[in-house]
Amino acid sequence: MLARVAENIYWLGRYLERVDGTVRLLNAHTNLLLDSPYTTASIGWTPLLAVTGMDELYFEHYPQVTAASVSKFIIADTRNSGSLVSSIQAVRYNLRACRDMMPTSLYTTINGLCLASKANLGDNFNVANKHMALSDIEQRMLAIFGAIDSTMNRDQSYQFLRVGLHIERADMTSRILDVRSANLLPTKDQQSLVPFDNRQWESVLQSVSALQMYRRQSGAVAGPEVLNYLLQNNTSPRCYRYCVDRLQAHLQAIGGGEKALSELAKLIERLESAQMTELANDPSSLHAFVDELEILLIGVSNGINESYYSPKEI
Amino acid sequence: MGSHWENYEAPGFDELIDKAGQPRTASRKLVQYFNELSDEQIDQRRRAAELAIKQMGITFTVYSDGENIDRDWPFDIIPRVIEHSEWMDIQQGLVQRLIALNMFIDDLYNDQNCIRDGIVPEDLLDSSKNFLPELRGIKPKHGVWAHICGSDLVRDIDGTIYVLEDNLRVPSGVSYMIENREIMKRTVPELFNLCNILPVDDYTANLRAMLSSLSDNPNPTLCVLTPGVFNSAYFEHTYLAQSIGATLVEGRDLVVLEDDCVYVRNVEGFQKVDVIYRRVDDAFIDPECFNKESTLGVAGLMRAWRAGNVAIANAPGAGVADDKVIYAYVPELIRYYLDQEPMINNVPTYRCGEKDQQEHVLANLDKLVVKPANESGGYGMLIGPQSTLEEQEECRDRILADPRNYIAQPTLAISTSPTLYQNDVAARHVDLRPFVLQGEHVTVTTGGLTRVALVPGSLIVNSSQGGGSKDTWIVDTRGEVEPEELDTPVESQSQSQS
Repeated sequence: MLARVAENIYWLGRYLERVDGTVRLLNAHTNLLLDSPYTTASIGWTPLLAVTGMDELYFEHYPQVTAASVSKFIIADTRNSGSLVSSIQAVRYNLRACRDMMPTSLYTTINGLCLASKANLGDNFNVANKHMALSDIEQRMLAIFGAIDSTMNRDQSYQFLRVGLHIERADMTSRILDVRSANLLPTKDQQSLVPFDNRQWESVLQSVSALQMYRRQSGAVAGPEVLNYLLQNNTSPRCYRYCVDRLQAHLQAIGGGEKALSELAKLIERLESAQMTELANDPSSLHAFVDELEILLIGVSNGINESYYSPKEI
Repeated sequence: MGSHWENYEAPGFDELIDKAGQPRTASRKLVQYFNELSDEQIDQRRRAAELAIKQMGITFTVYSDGENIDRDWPFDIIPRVIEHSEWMDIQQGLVQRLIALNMFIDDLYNDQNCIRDGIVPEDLLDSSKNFLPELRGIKPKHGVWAHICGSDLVRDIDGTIYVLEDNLRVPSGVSYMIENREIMKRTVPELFNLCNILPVDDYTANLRAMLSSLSDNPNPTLCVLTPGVFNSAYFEHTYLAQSIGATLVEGRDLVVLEDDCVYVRNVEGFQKVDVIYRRVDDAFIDPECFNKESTLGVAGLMRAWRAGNVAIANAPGAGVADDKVIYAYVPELIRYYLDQEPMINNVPTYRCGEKDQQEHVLANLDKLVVKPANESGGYGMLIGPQSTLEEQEECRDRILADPRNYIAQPTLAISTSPTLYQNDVAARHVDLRPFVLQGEHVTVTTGGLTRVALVPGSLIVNSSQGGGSKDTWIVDTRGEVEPEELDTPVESQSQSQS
């Protein structure tokens, strides 16, 4: 397939996953705060800004941190390049360029998402309807993933889409881990923030929609086990290692991605050498480790770019 | 007749309703169906069609819309109907016409017998914008230059069908023809049980076969070359590429290497291309040869084409016959090349390049339709009876400045077809664009794209200027069709959990 279109499909995958991941994160976070009666809006909602890396931009446009403003900023603000509405615009942009490669039902489900976003997440977005809007997107994403699975030929367009999906999911998971490791969920006594109590770890699992599967696999929630699960488990689709393994498989299926694969090998090596217990008990080590992972993943992304999208020498 | 048609009035010939106000044979069942619908039911179907168009992403782009690059396709749910036996005659006429046109183009680029024998004047080529003299001596496969032709047909007040013009460069609209049928199948499927409506989706298989026949490779690599996402017909480019299993490419995806072959930049490297269905104009197709500033084309493409290493449909230079002045000679060309009488006639046409005809035109600007030879989209036209004195003066100046570039035709009272207008049915002018394919064989679409002027009283059907379209039905009235019997239950074949 065309190198140019491969790049569009890769970014289509990344942005679709970004939409899905953002909705899951928002839902989990909202839910969590409903069960945190002593948390102020500022303490409760600021971490969400940090996950998307948009804290500075936020304060340029909004005077305070409130549930309503942060929700609006993340869902419907076009000035925020990481917002849901912006991500869906990027989905639409990339979809146009690779439209001919999409089976009809996949095209119509993605197009439906874009149309719904235009209708519901525009200037008329009312944060009071947040739940309905997010729920609608959630349903649409399920239909889109279903269409990908059941109608796409397992050819290069499929492989590139999956590469985009998995790299984005890995990226989001590590970011959530990073922020949640730094932010301590306060308990009744707001003065003594207890690091890494089990509720905190549960909330991290919730943010990546992995709590239920974790419980089936590993039972009780405790720091080292949760970290191990999120980073090393290779059978749960929400987990970092799983994403990275699938990334490797798809790159190998495409072929010719030596640069990307060698970067990926470095990342896997670093992942395998991590000491979960140590990381679980020391927030700053965890932060440093996740930082390393993020840099290594960027290396993989650059490798993909070099291997496939850059113009070949004639 | 029922309430929707009580006040129906057509100014001239109507496609569905005859002079006595009764539906024509092929339209009987259709008209009866619409009569039996309440206002609410009609409105519901209209909205369902609009929704389907949105969901299916059937769009087009109007350049003056700025950032809104996707407009929903404007569609009317009442189809236009042509009786099958009449269509068979029209089809034959279209085949005849394209064969003659291709023989003409091939002649112009080789021996030019038609000029030597005085069928067309020599100076016609001198002033032709689309004739590319550097292409003389080339003999494309099967002797065909215009592989895809969209000939616009209109019907005059006495019911006669005329060819209005031949679009031989990059004619568009066929994807909308196919999607219009899909919209109808979704919104009014019950109609398809009532009448024998011939299917239209064989076009893409024929297109693929025709393009493949242009290559000696038994399993050729096909590409559709698009100017890109901002082009007004981008939807069609993606649709056709997908339907024929071709790769949709832009100029930057192709490269011509030292072997004078065209390659496409794939993920794993270069793959040889055998046939290019190009939707980029001649001028932009090769910066090595033509417009040097063009970023839409492929440097060296003409080199590859001349060497016979890639086929291009429509061939560069085919546009010489897409010229309203040459159009005026087509009946003579049919006689000259085929020794046959044209089965479909031209609209009577005055050539402003000829002194006496020019005088007649200038004296009758308020009665004629004046068209520049090379514009499309309905731009630059003067519609005499609807024009102001000022517009006529401007037209006069343009004709005098460049007479060879203008033709004029009497204002035809072109036929109308019932169209939904608010909650009523009103007569709106229509034309028809069938698509004719010629490679190894010649095939014609079943019907074509019916364009309708949605603005009351307007004659302009182009979508960029307020036009819309309808599904076109070729209805076979031989033998009545009974509504299908209710499905009888069949023994279940598949497994269930016990």
